[in-house]
Amino acid sequence: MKAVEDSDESLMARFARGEAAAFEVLYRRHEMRIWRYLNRHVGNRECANELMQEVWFGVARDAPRYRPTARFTTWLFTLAHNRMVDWFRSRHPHESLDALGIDAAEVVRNTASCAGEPYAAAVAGEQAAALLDALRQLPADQREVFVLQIEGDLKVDEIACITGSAFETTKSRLRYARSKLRELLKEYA
Amino acid sequence: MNQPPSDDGDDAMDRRFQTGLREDGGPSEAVRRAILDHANRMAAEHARSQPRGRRSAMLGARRRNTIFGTLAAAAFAGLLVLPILRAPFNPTQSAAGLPPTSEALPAPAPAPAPQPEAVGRSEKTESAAGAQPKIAAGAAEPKGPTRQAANPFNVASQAKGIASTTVGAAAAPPAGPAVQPSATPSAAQAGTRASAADAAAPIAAAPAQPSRNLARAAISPFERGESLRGAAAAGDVAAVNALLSSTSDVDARDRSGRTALMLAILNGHVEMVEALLAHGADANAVDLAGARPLQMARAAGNREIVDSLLRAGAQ
Repeated sequence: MKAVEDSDESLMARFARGEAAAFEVLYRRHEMRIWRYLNRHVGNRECANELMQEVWFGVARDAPRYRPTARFTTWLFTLAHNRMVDWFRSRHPHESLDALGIDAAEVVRNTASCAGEPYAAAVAGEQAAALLDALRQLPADQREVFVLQIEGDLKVDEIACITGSAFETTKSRLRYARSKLRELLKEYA
Repeated sequence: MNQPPSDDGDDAMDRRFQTGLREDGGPSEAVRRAILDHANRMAAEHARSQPRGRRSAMLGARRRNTIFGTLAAAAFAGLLVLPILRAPFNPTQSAAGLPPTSEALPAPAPAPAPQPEAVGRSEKTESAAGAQPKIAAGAAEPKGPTRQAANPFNVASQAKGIASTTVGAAAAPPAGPAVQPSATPSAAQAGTRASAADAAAPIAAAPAQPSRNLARAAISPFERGESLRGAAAAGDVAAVNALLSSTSDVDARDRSGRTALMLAILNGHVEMVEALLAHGADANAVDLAGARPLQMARAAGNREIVDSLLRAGAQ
């Protein structure tokens, strides 16, 4: 009973009735997933912060119109995906998504600073750099589906719905993304 | 060779990324605070909007009752009038026209839902006064406002509606004394017409509201956006041009994130799409479901609209 009450969908319903605390629970629950999804794509913290704010403002505004026909996370990531596409078009109308780099240095710095001990920090930093570098080498469509799966913990059909692609296309992109990443990270295995 | 790669080791790959890149630090504290503050404000707004929703539901129910009541009264009046219509035509009685008897005069004063008896009596008197065509017109009359209401954004028809309302209002004071026994026949007819108009008023009231708002100079941007989308959906190019001459936001969105352009596409209005694009509508807007104008046009199979959008740089 408790689990049902605390589901994302019920929290949204409670927030739509005016319960601010429900939103905070929801936000804390999904904050990092959305953050990482945005940050992996737009490449720097400032832009990711801006987008993060837009996405969650949208969640707060549209809560009364939210209907739990799909999982909340699908709805949330769809909102994040659309905001990101709009943001990208408004700022880089003539570039493709591939042109967006990931601020690897920043992530490596963050990873290293969280690792504590200097040696561990160096190793963690090196590994993070390798992972990011590999991620950056993926085509944008493959990178997006892969990040959605590892950060959003979403199923293939949900990712297909979010990105507006066919199920088989999405599945294929995921396989190619993993295959390429495996190849790129062979020496770090 | 072209087979998609296998799934071997997928979990290990995912885990590697999940553990290797977790330490991102998250959004800044200022952003976190801004989001939660905004959520608090929105929660208060949502809480306030709750009772308003109930009130509007009550208003809707009351309006529905009024409409059904009026329709029931009209049907009852029709039943009373039917035998008279079926009776053999008497030219002497019809041509002479009845003088305004005291029976004709107590026509019901303007009221939203006239008593069935009063309606019956006034209709009977009217028909007895050789007003058979009037009855037929009366039966057809509700179609006028209703049809006009179907397209409440038609500026030209609204202007006419407002003008006729004004004329009606101007004629009302002379018709008012119809209750007094000294009223002339024309005044009595005007009185019955006024009462018929008043009886139809509740039906026309709801859809006519936007037209009055449109006529006012002080109109909120939200209302303008709604009017614009409504006109775009109805394909009323004149209304859209009129609205866009006074408002700048051609891309105002509805609750689904749809713009006027998207609604015009979904309703297949080619001219409207071109007019909106000429006014600078965003051909690459995305609605909340992630759909874009070009996708909508292609899904609808409308080649002309697709071409227009492509010319406007839609992707």
